[in-house]
Amino acid sequence: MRRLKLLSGDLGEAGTMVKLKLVNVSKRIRKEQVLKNVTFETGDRELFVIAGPPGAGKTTLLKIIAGLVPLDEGEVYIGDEMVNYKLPVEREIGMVFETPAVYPNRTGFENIAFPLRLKRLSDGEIKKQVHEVAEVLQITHLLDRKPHTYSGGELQRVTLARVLVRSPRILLLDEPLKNLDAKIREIMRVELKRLQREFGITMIFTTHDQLEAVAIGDRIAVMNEGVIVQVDAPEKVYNFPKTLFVGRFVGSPSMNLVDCTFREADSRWVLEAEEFSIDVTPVKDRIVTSLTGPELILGVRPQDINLGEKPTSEQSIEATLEITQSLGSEKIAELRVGSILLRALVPPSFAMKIGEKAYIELNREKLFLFDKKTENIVVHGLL
Amino acid sequence: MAKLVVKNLRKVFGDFEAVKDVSFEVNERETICLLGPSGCGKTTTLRMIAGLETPTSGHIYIDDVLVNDVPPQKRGIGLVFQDYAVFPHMSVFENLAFGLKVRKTPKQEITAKVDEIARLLGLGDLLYKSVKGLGLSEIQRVAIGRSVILDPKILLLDEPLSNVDAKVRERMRSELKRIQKEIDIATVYVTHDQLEAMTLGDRIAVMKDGLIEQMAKPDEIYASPHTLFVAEFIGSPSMNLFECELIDREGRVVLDAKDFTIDVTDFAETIKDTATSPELVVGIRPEDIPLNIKKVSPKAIRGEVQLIESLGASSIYHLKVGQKSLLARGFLEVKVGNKVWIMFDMDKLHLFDEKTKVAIW
Amino acid sequence: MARMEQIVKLAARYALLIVVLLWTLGPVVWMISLSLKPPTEWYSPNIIPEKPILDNYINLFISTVPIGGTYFMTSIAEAITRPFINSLIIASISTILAVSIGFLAAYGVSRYKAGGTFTIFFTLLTRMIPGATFVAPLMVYYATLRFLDTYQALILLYTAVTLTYAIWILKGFIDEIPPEWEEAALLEGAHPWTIVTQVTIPLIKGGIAASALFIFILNWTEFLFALVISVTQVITLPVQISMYASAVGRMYGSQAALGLIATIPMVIIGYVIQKHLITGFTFGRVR
Repeated sequence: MRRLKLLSGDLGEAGTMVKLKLVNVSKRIRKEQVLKNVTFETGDRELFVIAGPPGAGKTTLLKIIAGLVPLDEGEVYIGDEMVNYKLPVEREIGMVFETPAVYPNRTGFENIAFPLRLKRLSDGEIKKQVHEVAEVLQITHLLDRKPHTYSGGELQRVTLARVLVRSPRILLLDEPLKNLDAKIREIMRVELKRLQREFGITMIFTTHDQLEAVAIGDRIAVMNEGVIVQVDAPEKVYNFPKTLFVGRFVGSPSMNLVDCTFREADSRWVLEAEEFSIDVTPVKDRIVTSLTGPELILGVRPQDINLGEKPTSEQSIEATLEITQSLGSEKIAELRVGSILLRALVPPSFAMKIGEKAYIELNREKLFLFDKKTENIVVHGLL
Repeated sequence: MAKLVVKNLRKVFGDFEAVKDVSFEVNERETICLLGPSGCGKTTTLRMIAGLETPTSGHIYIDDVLVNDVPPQKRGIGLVFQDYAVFPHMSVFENLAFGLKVRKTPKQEITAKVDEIARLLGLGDLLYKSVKGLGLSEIQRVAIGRSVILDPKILLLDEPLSNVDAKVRERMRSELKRIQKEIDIATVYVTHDQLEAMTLGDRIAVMKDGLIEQMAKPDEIYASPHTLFVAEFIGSPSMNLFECELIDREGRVVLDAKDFTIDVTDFAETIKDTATSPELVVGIRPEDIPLNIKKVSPKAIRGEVQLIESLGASSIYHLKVGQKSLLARGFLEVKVGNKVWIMFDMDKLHLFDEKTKVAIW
Repeated sequence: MARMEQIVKLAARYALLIVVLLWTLGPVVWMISLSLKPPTEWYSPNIIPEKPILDNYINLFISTVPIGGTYFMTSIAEAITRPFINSLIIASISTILAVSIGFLAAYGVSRYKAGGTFTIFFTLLTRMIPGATFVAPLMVYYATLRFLDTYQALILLYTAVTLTYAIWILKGFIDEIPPEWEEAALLEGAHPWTIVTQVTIPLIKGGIAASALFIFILNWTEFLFALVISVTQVITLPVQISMYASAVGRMYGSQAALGLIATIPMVIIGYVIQKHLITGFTFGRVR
C-alpha cells in the first residue's frame, strides 16, 4: 500500500512530533465523577490503546481529546500545544465513532467528500483526494454505492476514509471493532495496525476487549472507573500487572484468584489457602515490604497451571476435574479444589474424564501476589 | 427418535434465498450450534424452528410430530433472544412465574417450580429482587429461566452473548456451559463466534449462504474440516491457505506453492486418487507451524517477520515467505524485520481440492 | 378435518374484513354517488346515478340558490370559494410555522436537553385540557385585543396548539439519528447550523413530511375555535360546512359534494408526500 502523499507531507517535515499528552484531566457528568485525574502521554506515531470495561470513561475521554466535550480540570496537549481552548476542527483530529458516521442518504463518494466540501475545495481537488484515499483503503468500488449495501467491514473502511482524507495529526477511534463479527474483528484489527504503520499516524483507540488491545497496541492504558490504572507495553501489562484489576482484565482466559493468608508456620513462611499451602520462605523479604496486612490474593494464569494424572512433587495440589471446554487449539479444564474453582489451559490431547482426580503443579515463576485490601501487586513470581 | 428433526428447510424472501437446504437432527440433551457469518441463514433457520417464520418448503418435527403448521406457543419451545426479553419492573420471581401464571397453574406449583429453576440457575438469593438492578449475566439467567420453566422440549438461543463485552462474555460462556449441564434439554444455539460454538456445542453446524457445510463435534471440525470455508472459519487466528500444484519432480511428488515446496511422495497415492485436478489448496493452522530463529532442518523455510500481535502468553507472527503471507503462532524473542525459520508439520497439513473446495487430506 | 377448520377460519377472517370495509368505505362511496346525482335520485338506492351531473359541485362555488329550488332552502347559502381559500391559508401557514418552530424546539430538546425533563412533559400536558374549557376566556381575550375575525388570530392559535405535536413527533425522529453522525461533522469544522441543514434535516425528511401532514389535517379540520373566532371574514371550511348544512337542510347532493371537496387538499398532500413518508419510516438503518 502506498503512503498518502498528503500525510507524509504534513508529518514528515522537520520531525514534527505528534504526541498526545493529558495532564490531570477530570470530568464530572451530573453527579458522577467520570474521569479522575487522567494523566498520560503517547509516543510519536504510536498505536496507543485505552482498554477498559464499559463505563470506565473511555468514550468521554476521547470526546474530551477531540474537543466535543469540555473538561472540568486539566490540560490536553497535542504536539506541544495546549489545545483546551481550541475548537474540534482546529485540533486537526480525526475521530471514528462506535456507530460508523456514514450517512445513509449519500453515496460513498459523497460521504468521504463531506469534510472536503466543508473546506470548500474545488470539485476537481475533492475528486482527486477522495479517489486517492479510496484506493489506499481498497474501497473504490464502494464510491458509487449507498451505505445500506455495505458490509460491516466496508462501513468501517468508508468511515476511516472520511477521517483520513483530512490528513489529521492524530486519529481517535472509539471501539471501532465492537459491532463486527468475531472473524472480521480479527482481520480488521490487523488492518488497523497496518494502516497505522503505513500512514505513520498517532492512533489512539479504545476497546473493552483486552485481546485487541494487547494484540496490536504499542502501549496500553488500562482504565477502570475513570482512572488510568496502568500504562505500559502489552508484555509488561501482561507479565507485571500493577493491580488486581489489571491482572484480571488482561489475559484470556482470566487469571485465577485464590484468597490466602501469609503467615509463619514451623519457622517457614507460607501462603495458606483453603485447601493448600505454598512455601514462600525464599521470597519472604520481598513480600513483607509491600503488604499492608496478612490477607493476600494469589493470582495464577490458566496457562501457568500444569496438570497431571499423578502428583509430581510435594507441592502438587489435588483437584477434581469438573468441566472441559474445547477451544480447538487447546482446551480449558475447570478444576475444583475445595470451594475454589481453577481454570487451566491444557493441550487438545488432554483426555481426562470429568470427575477424575488431577494434580496441579503451579509455575512459581508466574505466580502473582496481590494485597487483598489495596488490590495492589505485592510480588511477581515466587522464586 | 431425535427430539428435533429439520428436513430440507428452505426459505425465500422475495428473490433472496436465505436458507437453501438445511437438514439436521438434535437429540435429547444435546446442544447444536448453528455457526456462521452474518447472513448465512442461521437466524432464519432458528426462527423457522421457533415458528416465527414459515418455511418456503421443508419439514420440522418436534418429538416426531410435524409442526410446520403449529403456532410458536404450541410447539413446546423455549426461546432466548439476543436482548433477553425480561420484564424490567418485576422481580425475578414474578418474571419466572409469568408463564406459569398465564397458564393458570396453582400457586403452590408455581412456587415449587420457580424455586427449582432458581436453584438450578443460581438465582436463589435474587428471587425477590427487582430485575432492574441486576447485572447482565444474572439477567441472562432469568431469561433462560423463563424459557425453561415451562418444560420446553427444545431450547432455542439466538446469539445471546453478542451484545456483551469481552470479559463478561468469557464469564457468561462458562456459566452457560454449566447451566447447559444442569438443564439438559435439546438446545439449538445460534452464533457467529466460533469460540462460543466450540465451547458450548456438542455438535456444530457450520453454515454458509443458506447451507450447512459441515456438522460434527468441535474437535472433529477443528481437526478435520471438510471444506475450505469451514477450515478458514474455525480456529483463531484463521488457518493459512495457499494454492499449489501437485507435480512430479525428480522422482518425488511435491506440492509446488511457488515460494516453497512440500514433499508429499509418501501420500501421493491417496492424493492423486481423490483430487479432481492438480490444483490444490494447502492449509496449515498457525499453531501448527513450529518456529525457530535458526535453521534446524534442511526442510525449513525462511520467512520475515512483518508484524507481531502479542497475546500475552503467545504471539501471532505475520510472516512474509517469498510472496506469500503466513500467520504463525508461538513464542519467540523476535522483532519486526527479523528472519525466522518455519516448518510444516505433515500430520497437521490439510489439503483441499481447489475446484470443489473439499478436503482430501 | 384440520383442512376444513382452516377454510372456515379463512372465510370468517374475510367476512370480518368485508364488514369492516363496508363500514368504513360505505359512507364514502355513498357520498360520491350522492354528489353526482340529481335531486330526483337522492332517495333512490342505486349507487351509480342514472343521470350523473356535476351541478352539485359547481353550485357550491357560486353564490346562488342551490339546485332544487327554494323549496328546500331555509336561508341563502354562501359560495364556498372564500372559506376554502381561508382554510387553505390558515392551515398552511400554521402548519409551516408549527413544523419549523417545532423542529428547532425538538432539536434543542433532543440534542441539548433543553428545558430539562419537565418542560417537554409540561407541553404535552397542556394538550390534555379540552379545548372547550378555554374557548370562552380566549374569545373574550381576543375580543379585547380586537383580534377576532382575523387571519392572525387563528394562525397564531393553531400554531401554538399544534406546536406540541410537532415537537413530540420530530423529537422522536431526531432521537433516531446517532449523535455521532453530527459530532463527526462538528469535528470536521461544520457549523452547528450547517449540520442541521446538511445532515439532520435530509435524514429525517420522512419525519418532517409525516408531522406536516398530521398537523395540516388537524388545522384543516379544526372546528371549535374557528367557529368562535371567525365571524364573517375568516370563516373556515368546517364552519362553512356546518352553516351550509343548516341552511340548505335536505340538499343531500350538495352536502355530499361539499364534504368531498373538503377532503381534497389533504388527499392531494398525502399523495404527493407519500414517497417521503415511506422512506422516512424505513430510514435505511445501517447495521
